[in-house]
Amino acid sequence: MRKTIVAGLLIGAFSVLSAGEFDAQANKDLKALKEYMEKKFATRKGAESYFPYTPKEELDKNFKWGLKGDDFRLGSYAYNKNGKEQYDEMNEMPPYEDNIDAGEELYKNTKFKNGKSFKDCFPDPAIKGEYPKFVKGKGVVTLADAINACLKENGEKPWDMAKGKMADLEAFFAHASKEKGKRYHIVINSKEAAAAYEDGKKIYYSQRGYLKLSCANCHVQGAGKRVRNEYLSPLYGQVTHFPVYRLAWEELGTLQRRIKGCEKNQGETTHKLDSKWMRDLIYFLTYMSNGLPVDGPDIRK
Amino acid sequence: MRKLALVTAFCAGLFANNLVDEAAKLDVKKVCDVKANGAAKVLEVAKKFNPEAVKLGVEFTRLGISNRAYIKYTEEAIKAKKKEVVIKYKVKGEEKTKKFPTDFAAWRACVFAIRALAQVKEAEKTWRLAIPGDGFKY
Amino acid sequence: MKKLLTLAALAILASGFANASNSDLVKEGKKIFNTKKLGNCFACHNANGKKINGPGTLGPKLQGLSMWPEQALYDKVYNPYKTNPISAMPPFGLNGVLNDHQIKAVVAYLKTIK
Repeated sequence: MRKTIVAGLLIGAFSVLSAGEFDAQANKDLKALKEYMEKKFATRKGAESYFPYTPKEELDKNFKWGLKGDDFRLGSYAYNKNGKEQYDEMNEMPPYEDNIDAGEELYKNTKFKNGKSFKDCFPDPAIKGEYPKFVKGKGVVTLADAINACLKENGEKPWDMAKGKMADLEAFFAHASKEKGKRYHIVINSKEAAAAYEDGKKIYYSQRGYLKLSCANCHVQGAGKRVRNEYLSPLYGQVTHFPVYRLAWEELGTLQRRIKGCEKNQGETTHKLDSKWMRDLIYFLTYMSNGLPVDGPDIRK
Repeated sequence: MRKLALVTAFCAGLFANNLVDEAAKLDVKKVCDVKANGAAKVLEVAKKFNPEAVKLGVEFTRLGISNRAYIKYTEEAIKAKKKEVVIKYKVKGEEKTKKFPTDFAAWRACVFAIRALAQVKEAEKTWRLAIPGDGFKY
Repeated sequence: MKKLLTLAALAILASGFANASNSDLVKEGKKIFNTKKLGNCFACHNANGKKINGPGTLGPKLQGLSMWPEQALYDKVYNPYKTNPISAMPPFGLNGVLNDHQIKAVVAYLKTIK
């Protein structure tokens, strides 16, 4: 009897310990990324080595230094002073407020044919920071995937994952989460989830397309540098503000939409918005903002 | 034990992508040279490798024109012995056309197909060099 | 004497033509450098002594390239990965973005950068 109890305790202890090990690598990656970004944008004095090709005048006049943690939720506006000014002006009359209202309307008043509603799938709307989740048998499920799964389960047609109703409902979820001060806390608690994270990570860091660029070329090594006149945003904090009202689109769009646009610019044939490629990539991307506040919806150029 | 060996061999076969390895070894300067090999032969090379690039999700698309489109329209032009390829494609739902000399289009289709696959192999060796906390030293 | 003068005249004319065709090549190279849908070099590079419209900062400001051998410039544009295997600079030649003639035009323009 005593042997069984001891054995049981040991097995229990071991499972508790090993539940932590699945996200060990991801946490290492996140810590190293945060450290790099904070060092890069720490001081004007140390900037030359990180920005060897940026004119000194630009480093002197247009950069905000001493960035830490939550600062990075603003993306390139964290360091780009001119951009931040324009951003602040635009946020005085945020163009996405209608989207939040539309999203709230969808959440509260959409009645599926079978009588159910979004409340049955998502009883608490302050859940933006929990997605994507890894679901055994399904793989990575982003919020947009979960919304479409809810629709399908209830006999309704799935929505376009790039914009429109999908973006509006995401805006409501993001806003509800932001109001409650929620932060991103993506979870990796199985071997399969860890594999999906590693897949997304490899996608992020692999060079491809006729320009032979990886996401990292621009958003890790390139963060803070410019392509023509556009400042490149950093990987750390890259997804906190979605869904995004992008001036280039003149409307609200999802993270999936933005990634697809990026693919086009890099000379690749684009991936489907609900493909494993896209979902694994978003799993990795969001984990790299773990601990940062849910900050959407928001404006970007 | 034998079952394990068979399974391992099967998995190894899956991971050892022959077309990727083959493409990685080719010299695009030689293989895609239209003056030396003729447009038709060069296009055959493109037709050989591009489907695998599509399958792996690494096909090149430049300014709205996928390599599949380059190949399709160049093949038509070569068959009809035309000196110019007219490619029809869509950008944001709008129909567009672009013209290229047949030789140029065949060369590009060939290079795009081979390099899309060769880069898969190259990325295997280089991707960790960009990761802070891993291969990226700063 | 007449023959010598004629030859001299022809030589001067010939070099004039050569310069004319080189200046065409330089013009073409300049266009490739500054056009988004062609080489788009100015996305990342400024160039010394040139009026570049909003050059990016991913790559160095180009200078002293007039001193480089043409082959070295060609090789760099064709495939720049000798020093940094994960460079952000695309292999314009190797990946079929610019063909041989286009790269030669870019090189002609780069040679005018002091």
